[in-house]
Amino acid sequence: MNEPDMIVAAQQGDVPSFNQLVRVYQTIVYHTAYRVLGDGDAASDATQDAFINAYKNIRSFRGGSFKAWLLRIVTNTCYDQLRAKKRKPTASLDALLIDPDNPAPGLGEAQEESPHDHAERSELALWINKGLQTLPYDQRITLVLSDIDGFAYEEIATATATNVGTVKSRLSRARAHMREFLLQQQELLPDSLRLKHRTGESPDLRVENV
Amino acid sequence: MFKRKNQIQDMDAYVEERLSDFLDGTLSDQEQEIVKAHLASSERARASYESLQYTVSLLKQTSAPVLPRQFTLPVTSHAPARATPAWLVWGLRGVAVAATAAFVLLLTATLFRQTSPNQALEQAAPMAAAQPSPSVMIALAPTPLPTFPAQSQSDQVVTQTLPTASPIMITIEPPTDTPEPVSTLAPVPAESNKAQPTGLPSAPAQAPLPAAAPPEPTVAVSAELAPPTPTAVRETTDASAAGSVLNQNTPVPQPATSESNAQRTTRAVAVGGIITATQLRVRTGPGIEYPPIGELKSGDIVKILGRDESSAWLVIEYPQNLETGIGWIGALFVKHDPPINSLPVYEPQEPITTENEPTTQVPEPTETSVNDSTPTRTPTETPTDKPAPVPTRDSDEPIAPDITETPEP
Repeated sequence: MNEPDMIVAAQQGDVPSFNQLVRVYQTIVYHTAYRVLGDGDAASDATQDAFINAYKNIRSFRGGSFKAWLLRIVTNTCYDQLRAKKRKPTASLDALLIDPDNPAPGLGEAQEESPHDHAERSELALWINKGLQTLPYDQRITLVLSDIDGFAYEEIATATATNVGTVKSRLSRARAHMREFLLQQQELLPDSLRLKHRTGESPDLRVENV
Repeated sequence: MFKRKNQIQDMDAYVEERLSDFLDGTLSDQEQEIVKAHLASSERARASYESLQYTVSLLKQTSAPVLPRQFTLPVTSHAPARATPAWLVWGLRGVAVAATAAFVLLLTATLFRQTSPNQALEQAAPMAAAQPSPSVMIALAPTPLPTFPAQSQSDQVVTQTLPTASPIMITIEPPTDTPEPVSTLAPVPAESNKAQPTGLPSAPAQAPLPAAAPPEPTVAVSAELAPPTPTAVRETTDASAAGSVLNQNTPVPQPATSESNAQRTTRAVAVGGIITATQLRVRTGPGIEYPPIGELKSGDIVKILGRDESSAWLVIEYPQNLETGIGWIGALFVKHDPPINSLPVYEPQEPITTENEPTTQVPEPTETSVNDSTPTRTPTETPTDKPAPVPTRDSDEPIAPDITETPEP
């Protein structure tokens, strides 16, 4: 059964068909939620909520890219999660993210890596995660969808209910912001992962209007 | 000298703004050239570009977190998809409103009763109350009133989460087999005969149902004013909830009785299967003498609707077959979970070659109607013997000449 068939069946209330779709997309949805929310538990909740919402509303899907439609729901669900979290901040997000003894799940999982490389990559991933959390939500979701998940501009535009122009400009600002963030943290990173540029120029490099 | 420096800085800013797009190759040709030229001349811009490039490459390398668990929904949640929560909520709100209206009416009626010592007046009272009822209801309708605690609770449950909502749906739906009380959801109060016309309008619209059960409302009526308040009202709300479910439930062609609902869960309407053969032909009938109409490959998921008598061939949903919406595949090459013996036996269609044999087929009584959720299926697979089991019968050939004797599988 291909995707359109699954969707049609799901629209008729066929849960197994919908679950087929879930299996196809759960990784990308969870991944996105994880990057946007910066926390595995929250991402889990958001992913589950997103699929429930998708199932509830699947009849409102009228063709086009199902992935983009689904991501729109994910985007909104994550946003709701963040707002809820803001209302009742339980644990410090920072402590959670920097804690080296408690690396986030699944970061840098390549098996062939030496433990050393693995540690470096994990740490880097933590910093990327942390940097993402410093971005405004619009820019964050755009950056995640584009550079981490690899979606096309058009899909991101649909997912974030905006146009391609806005996606591009958000992406541009978000990337510049991330670059600055990583440059600032550079001394915290292992040598091998320092950004490759002439260190003498780094003060100049800072872009004024970021 | 100064001027030149300013120019360079301006250019840096100009290029900086476009680096992201440059990286993605989405600049216009002209802009692209400008950026490229500037990058070649300005070390600063180049460093900026390289670091941006590196940042993006870091992001792209970020490995995916391990999925902590599966996010599939519990399969028990059948109804919710058809029951869009939006209308369900409104339906329940409507019920709440109706209940409120009923309550208000009861109150006023009792008040009337108490205040009027006169017998004649007392009789007139309900009649009088009947008049305001519609207007009261109309006034109340749009506002979502919480009213009864029981009501608002159920409302919340439904809106909250799907999995929990599904059991609710199932419990609500069964009352549909006595759907007629729906019509009386509004007139619950005493004056049934007066109120009926006003309370009814929703009913005729929604009812392809054999509306033939006025007893329920009258029960409520006979219960009279004082006692019925809590229980009676809830009953009616239940019924009306079911009614609204039915009402909005467009895709269901037949009024689902509680039995059919129960069946739906137990009877294997369709079994999911996975193709195990690397290539598997889909045919128009149970046998290799039937022409292939398509191919499936290993790993494809199919919905098994039925089988032939020997269970050697399976009927799957196959929308690519525009005529019937089904296809036949060899059972050997499909993995499926539950046994397929419970699935209905399908009569194969005649291989296309024989058109001129208007044989009056001997239909198998073992035939059962197939699930009604797939609208694409045409009646060809179900012979006409049964006294109208299939709701989706079109005006095709009533005595289908294309359904003929079974070619021994």
